Amino acid sequence: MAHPIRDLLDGQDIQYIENGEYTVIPLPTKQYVNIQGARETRICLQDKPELASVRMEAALYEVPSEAIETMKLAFSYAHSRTRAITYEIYDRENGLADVYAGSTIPWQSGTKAITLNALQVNLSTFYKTIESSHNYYRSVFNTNKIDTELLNLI
Amino acid sequence: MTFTLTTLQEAIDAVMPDSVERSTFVNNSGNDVCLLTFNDSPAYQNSKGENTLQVFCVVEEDGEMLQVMTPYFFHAESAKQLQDIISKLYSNETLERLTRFWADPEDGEVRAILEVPIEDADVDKTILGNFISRYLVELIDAYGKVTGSTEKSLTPGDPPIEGDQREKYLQQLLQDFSLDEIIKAALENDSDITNEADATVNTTSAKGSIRDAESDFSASGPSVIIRVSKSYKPGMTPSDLYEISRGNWALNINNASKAELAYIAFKGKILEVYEIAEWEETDQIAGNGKPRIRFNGKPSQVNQFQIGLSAKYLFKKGDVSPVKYMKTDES
Repeated sequence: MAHPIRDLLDGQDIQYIENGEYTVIPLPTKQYVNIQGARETRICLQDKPELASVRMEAALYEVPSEAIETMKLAFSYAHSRTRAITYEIYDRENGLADVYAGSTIPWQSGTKAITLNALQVNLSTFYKTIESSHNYYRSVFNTNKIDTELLNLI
Repeated sequence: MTFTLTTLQEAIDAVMPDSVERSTFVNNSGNDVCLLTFNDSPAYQNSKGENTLQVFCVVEEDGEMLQVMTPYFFHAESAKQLQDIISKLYSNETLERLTRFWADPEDGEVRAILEVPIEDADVDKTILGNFISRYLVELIDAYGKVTGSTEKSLTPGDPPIEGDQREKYLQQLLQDFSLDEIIKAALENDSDITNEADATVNTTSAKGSIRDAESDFSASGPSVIIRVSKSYKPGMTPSDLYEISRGNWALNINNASKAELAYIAFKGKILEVYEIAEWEETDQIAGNGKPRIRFNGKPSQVNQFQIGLSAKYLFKKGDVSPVKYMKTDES
């Protein structure tokens, strides 16, 4: 199977991990702390030729189920500030839910419809959003309340 | 400039029926806008009770961003209604939704927005048309989620939007996709890191950080660790995982009863932790002629932090036993 993303990354200063059809880019963080307690996020990229795009996703948080409804509101309030990124919450129905962030970049085989610069800009935006929204979302699922002051910092 | 109003109009002409009204203007920010108006829409009714859907396609950032949006996609009359709408829009259904929903608690507006970050890439009418079509598919599905409507036609007399592609889209949206598994699998593949250079966004060593995250697991108390390598499938539901984890195991029930926790491992990583309430015998007979046993329990909330940690050190090469005791007399 062709891996246009890897073709793009080869020879560049972007470290990545091959994982089947996925390409995983691990990024150290300053604010964000992952589920394992490490200051790192992992952004998964997948070519989506059928949608002429590349999908970028990251699993961000594990949150208590009681906070799900407040988290949904928190996503919708913050969405005016999170460029081209959507959030999803997946209820595992065991008392916990997973929060994911995703973004989609245009791509079309055989054209220059995705460039290294476009990928870097979008990775950077994704990364910055995860970092800047961390305190806001952490506050929401820890307190089950939306802190509007933190919202302004995103 | 990566795309222009002309390209956008070509894209719209390629995917929209003629019955959809088009008009162009320049908005207050100086961006070119193509406004699509779906009149007499069977599938959508706006907050004024009119069957009219308006979709603004905006050439943002000098052609480096396409924004497709519908202001007042819903209009909530109260905070409770707003919460109800948002709750339904963010239902547990998809992991690859492209459309965002922005809620304004001041006036109850719920806006549907798709932003396509193009940057300096070359995009043609096909790519732009794909995204506009995708937006409309997601919009109608979102409308159905909130209102319960099953109608999918945006224009009267026309087939449902992207009729032949819609099922394909939805199948893809609903396919079993577990990012957790991808990330856990990636954590096991450090040796496959193919580019040793530092990450661009942050120049400290990402590789070192991976190793930090791969800390070894340590049992919190008397427990068993159970490997489900043969029966676990990525994307399993919590109840299916519980069923394959609890039994049936060829263990001595007296020894097993000393365990308070059951750690479930897959490919060397902790997948789940259960608090064991009790063990019980099953109808299945083990090779020693005694009944196989299984546990009854529930996921351990206080030990969730151990999920994802490495348990590889517990299993030596050639060790095929699926169950081990930890911190019990049988350890």
